[in-house]
Amino acid sequence: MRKDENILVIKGLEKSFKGQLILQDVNLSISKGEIVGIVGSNGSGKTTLLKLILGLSYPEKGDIMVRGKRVFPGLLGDLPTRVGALIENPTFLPQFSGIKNLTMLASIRKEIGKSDIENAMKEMGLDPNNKKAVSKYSLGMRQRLGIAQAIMEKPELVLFDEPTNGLDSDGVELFSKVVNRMKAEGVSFIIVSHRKDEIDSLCDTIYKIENRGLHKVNEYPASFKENVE
Amino acid sequence: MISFNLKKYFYCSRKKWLIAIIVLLVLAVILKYIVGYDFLPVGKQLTLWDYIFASLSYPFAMLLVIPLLYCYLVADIITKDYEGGYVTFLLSRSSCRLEYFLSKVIIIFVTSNIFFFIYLMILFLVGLIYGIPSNGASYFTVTSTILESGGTIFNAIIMQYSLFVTLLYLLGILSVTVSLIFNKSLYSYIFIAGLILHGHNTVFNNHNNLPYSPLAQGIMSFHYPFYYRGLNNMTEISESIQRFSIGYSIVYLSLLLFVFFLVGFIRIRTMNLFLKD
Repeated sequence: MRKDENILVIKGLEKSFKGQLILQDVNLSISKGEIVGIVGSNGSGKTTLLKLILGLSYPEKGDIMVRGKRVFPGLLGDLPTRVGALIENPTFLPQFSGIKNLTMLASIRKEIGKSDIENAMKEMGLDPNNKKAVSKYSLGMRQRLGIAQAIMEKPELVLFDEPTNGLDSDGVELFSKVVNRMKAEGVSFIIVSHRKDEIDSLCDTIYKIENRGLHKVNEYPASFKENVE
Repeated sequence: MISFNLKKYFYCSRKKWLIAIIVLLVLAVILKYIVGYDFLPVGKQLTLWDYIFASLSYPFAMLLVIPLLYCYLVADIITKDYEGGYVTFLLSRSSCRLEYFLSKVIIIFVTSNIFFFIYLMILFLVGLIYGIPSNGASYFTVTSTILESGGTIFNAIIMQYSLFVTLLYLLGILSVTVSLIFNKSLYSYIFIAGLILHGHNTVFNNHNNLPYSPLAQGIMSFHYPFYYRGLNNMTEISESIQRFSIGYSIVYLSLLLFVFFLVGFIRIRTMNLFLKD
């Protein structure tokens, strides 16, 4: 994939849920190494957009192309490839340790080894040798593990939904470092967050979902931007 | 995906399997006391193979306990993934939904086999613990028919295995499909309860419906020619019973299995796997 090539292209996207239109005429392009932030009020459709990109749900209208591959039901229920994701609160197998959980997940693709998993955990400040069951993890530790699972297989696009939920200041700092390191390697991100500081410091472009549409925040007047949360 | 899902399933279902084994053990003990009443002449000794095959054909077990127990083991293997959000981790590592669905279908096949052999082993163990002799005259219609026609117990086990596992495989696919359609595994139990009522009516009131009741297909002794022998060759056999053979049941169950597999796949191909429909 060329550097200037778009890793994600969304055109004319429309999605309803229980008869209610949630997203309408959504258009978005993300190039390699770009970090896009999405803000919006509760229930505006931010998380739904991430789920659509991941193929957990399909749109009624419009196209989603990830790395040139269309995400649509097709014959087999096509899904995007090389995408990492952490959407809402991460749910792990509670009786297993962090490393065991990640090792099991890595066994699906069989693309990475133990050292890659350990590195991802260390990068998020987790000890791979910690045998504590995930059920005994704090919310912050679980969130760190969720971030580690999203980045460990060297994806080209990462979807984060409120990634700093439950993280302490050290965790937020580690997360920022990881995102910046991966951005430099050409990885693209979509970060959905309520935290304005996170959006400001990390993202190249910020959008807001409002009235079912996706609008670039820097196209709004400065007074509006101040109010984005 | 397949090996991952198998590991995950058995890890997450350990307690359920333990409960299932206990239920099967209790069932086997109860059956030890009641199976003989239907076929054993007064004063005759129950043999181990009669006990095992009669238990595997006993309507209380085959129409009620086994279907519900197996449904309990597998009905939520997909809904649990997306109710808890774990499906995000799985689908982000999969190339299509079919791959994910097939891995669950394989789990059902593996578990239906394991379930059969565990039940068979439990019956065998209970028979040994109670000191039921393995030698002696066979009176149960399945064993006596097969042995008298020159067959062996191994032939009977193969026939029983084919029927039992195909039935469980169907019940598993059916449970998963129904739970996907309604987004709740509870509906699988309701559907299975409907089949139980239909099976009960068929077995106790109207044998002419035997070829159409999915659960009755699992009862080997009701199949031709065992059914005929069970009536001591005294009754005129209707045409519907004559075509109710082991081969017919396996084809019938396989066709239903294919239909429910297709419906399940069509459903999962497009459904919301996170938001409740």
